[in-house]
Amino acid sequence: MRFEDLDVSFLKIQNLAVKFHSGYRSFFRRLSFYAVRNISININRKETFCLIGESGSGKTTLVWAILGLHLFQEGRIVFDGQTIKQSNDPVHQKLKRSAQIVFQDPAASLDPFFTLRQSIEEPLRARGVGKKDRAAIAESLAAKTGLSYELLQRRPSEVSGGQNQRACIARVLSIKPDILFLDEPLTALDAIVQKQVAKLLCEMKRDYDLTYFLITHDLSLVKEIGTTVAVMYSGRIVEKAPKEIFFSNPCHPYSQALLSSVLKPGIWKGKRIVLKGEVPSPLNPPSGCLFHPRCFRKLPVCEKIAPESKTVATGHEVFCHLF
Amino acid sequence: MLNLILKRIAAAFFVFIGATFFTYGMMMFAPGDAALEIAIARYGGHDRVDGATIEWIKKKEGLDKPFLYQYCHWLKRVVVLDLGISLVREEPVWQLIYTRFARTFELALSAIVIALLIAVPIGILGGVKQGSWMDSMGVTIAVIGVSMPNYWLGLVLIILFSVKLKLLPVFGYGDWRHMVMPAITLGTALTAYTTRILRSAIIETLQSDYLIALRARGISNRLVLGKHILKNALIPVVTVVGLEFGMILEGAVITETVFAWPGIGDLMVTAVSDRDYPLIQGLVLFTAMVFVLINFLVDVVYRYLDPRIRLS
Amino acid sequence: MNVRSALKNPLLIAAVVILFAVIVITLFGSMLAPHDPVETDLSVRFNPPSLKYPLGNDSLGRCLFSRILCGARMSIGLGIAVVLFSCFLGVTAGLISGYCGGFVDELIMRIVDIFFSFPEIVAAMAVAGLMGPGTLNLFFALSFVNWTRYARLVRGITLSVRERDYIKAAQLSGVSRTVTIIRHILPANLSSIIVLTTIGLAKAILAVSALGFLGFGIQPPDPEWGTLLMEGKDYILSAPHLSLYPGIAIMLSVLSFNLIGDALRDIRSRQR
Repeated sequence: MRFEDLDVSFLKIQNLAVKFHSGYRSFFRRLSFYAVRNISININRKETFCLIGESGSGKTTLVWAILGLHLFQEGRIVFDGQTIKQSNDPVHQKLKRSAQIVFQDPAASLDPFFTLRQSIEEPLRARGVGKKDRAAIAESLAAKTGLSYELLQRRPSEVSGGQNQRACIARVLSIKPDILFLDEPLTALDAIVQKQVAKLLCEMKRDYDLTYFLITHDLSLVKEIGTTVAVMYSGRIVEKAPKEIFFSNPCHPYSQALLSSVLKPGIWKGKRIVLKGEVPSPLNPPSGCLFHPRCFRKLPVCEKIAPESKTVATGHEVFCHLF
Repeated sequence: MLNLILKRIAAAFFVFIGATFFTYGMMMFAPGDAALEIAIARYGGHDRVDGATIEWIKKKEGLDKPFLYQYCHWLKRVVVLDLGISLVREEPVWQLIYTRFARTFELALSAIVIALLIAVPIGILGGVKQGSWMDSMGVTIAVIGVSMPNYWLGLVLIILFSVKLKLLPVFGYGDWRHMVMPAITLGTALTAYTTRILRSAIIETLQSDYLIALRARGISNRLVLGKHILKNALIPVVTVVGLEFGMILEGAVITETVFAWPGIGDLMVTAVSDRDYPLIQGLVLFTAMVFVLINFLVDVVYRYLDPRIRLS
Repeated sequence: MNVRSALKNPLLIAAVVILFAVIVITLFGSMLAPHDPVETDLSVRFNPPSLKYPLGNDSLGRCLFSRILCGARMSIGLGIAVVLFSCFLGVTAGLISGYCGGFVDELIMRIVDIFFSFPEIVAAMAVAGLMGPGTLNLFFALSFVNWTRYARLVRGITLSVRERDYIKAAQLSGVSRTVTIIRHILPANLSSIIVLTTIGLAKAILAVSALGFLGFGIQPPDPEWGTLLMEGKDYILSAPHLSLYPGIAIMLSVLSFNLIGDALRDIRSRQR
């Protein structure tokens, strides 16, 4: 392992924020709110970084901002030692060329009018790879991802969800990305197929030296394949930790509640924590710590001051006044 | 809601500017010398017009100024409803349009009433009893109605009722007997169109999950039909009747020509034959503006009727 | 309904047969005509249908049947030309508007609003009145109103397709905008465009003949169905056949386009 692999993070996100407009306050003034804010994370080469949180917590927005599908208004991204100060500058283009994404719904992420072969070949075609080479790469990738040769001629509506997701994986691998964003890649699949696709993802990571950025609800998947975990709540990161520490010593009350909600044995040993209320609307966020209206260990200070980052162990950061 | 109305008004204003620009611009790019055309129309004939008259008209009408100046000048007058004087009739254009429009409106209204009276029962019946012989007959008649050229229908009606049966006067404006054939002619396409829309709206509503849920709760068919289906299916009908105002207006031009009905369409035809520029401009602008106004009203009514849109 | 069961509908079979006949007549009408459509013979003025002249003769003794056969070229041909041109214009505008969004979308849609606010026959009449009648003027006048329908339809579909994951995936895998529009977004629009084009053809044929009837369309002596009706109208009391048959020709061809358009729409909605 080279020196810089140890020291410099592969992808570093600093104080990133994305603002959205939501209609008009009056005829001239637009309403805007933070969809995600104050996001700082480091992702090392070849790790599996897991981002967990409820739906609506801003996980997908964050990934889309990193990939340039949403503009970000504050903060910066450092990719491979180069800084991206605003969306879609030249360095961002470089990041986009070496990153790919696998979406949640495999059927929706393939053009219904394309055969699987056409979909797999499309990124190569865009890069000007010749017809023969494209076919060869597509076929070898199909074999690698477990798609039979006949399936390549079919369209997404004619094959199963698992097969579609295999095609999506083959497609993103065709241009040999460095980092792969996985946006809940297993959620839309059957339980058995989930296992198979998870196994495929692990194999591909090993074979292609990939870095994974995994968004998921599925804590057992995180336990299985993750290396680092970050928990998001209402557009903010509330806790970051290496996987082992996160599962053995979750600090933030929200992380504890999340872990306690998993019904599988071996993840949470204590009493089940049931949260009251709902995720606050980003249009009208509560004062102080965003989690305080639902927190079961609330202190008076939580209502007034937003908590700063506190390091409780090496690589383990919590945003909570309890620590 | 207020924001929305303001936005709509802004859009309508944009359309107004665009429409006036095109109506005015079209005349500027017309072949031939506008002043000469005006002179010919006004003094009747080529030989009565000399160079001095043309120069005088050019000055008086401001035709020697640049286009944008002329346009702004014209626009200023349009805003206060001064559309100029008809070249041939020598009456103010606005007054001509205004009196003629009342008659067209009368005709259009009776056509809409006919259309609704026929289309609503047939559309509901067809939608509810989809696939029955009554439905397929309704569908067939409706598609024929949409496909029939209305001027031809007018001619056929004249042959039938005036020539063969001698029941109704061939053309003209007067009592209700003059109204029957033009109203049917104008109303047929509208009836057919409304029937089709209503039928498919009802079928769509019938297939929705919440109706299946209502049925499952044992609510009687009649109540479901009256309370839920009709309310939902009538929304597109309101929209269509509003939006098809353009269709009615086009139909009116033709119907009025066939039956010599002295409305706005008849006026348009004579204005075009006479090359009466101010009148043509006024009429085109007027129809466009009425269309924009009706669209605006339909939009507001539609939002009021449909709570899904009202709330969002 | 799939294609096979649709073809069991007798009305639709009739429509396909009529459409085929209409196309043949449009292409080869002048060769099929038994007489010269502009040849006058005053001895047979206003004659009702006979063996020699299947649909009778007009005010100048011309063969009405031959005039209808030859008129198809103008009525149908101009309708097709208008629809193809407006379809091309509208689809392009709609794709750009829907895909780019924002200011471009706003601008294009306001322009669409302007053109949409002119009823097409009124607009065509105004053009005929101001610029003079003529086939080319008619073509442009009808096209400039008609393209707005396609623009609105395509924009709506494009707006919803644009947000789909496979478009994002294409963007992220380096596919250029133009290629994304042509290879992904246009195919998603295609079935709706075909339905609208078929029904649009019916409307365009009606509009062309209506303008002919009003005297602002194709100029005589060239035969055109609407013009034939206009000529027949003056003799409605003595020779009603002159007003009857050209109208039937218009209605049958419009009907076939409408029926096929409906069937295509049914097939598409079942596939969804």
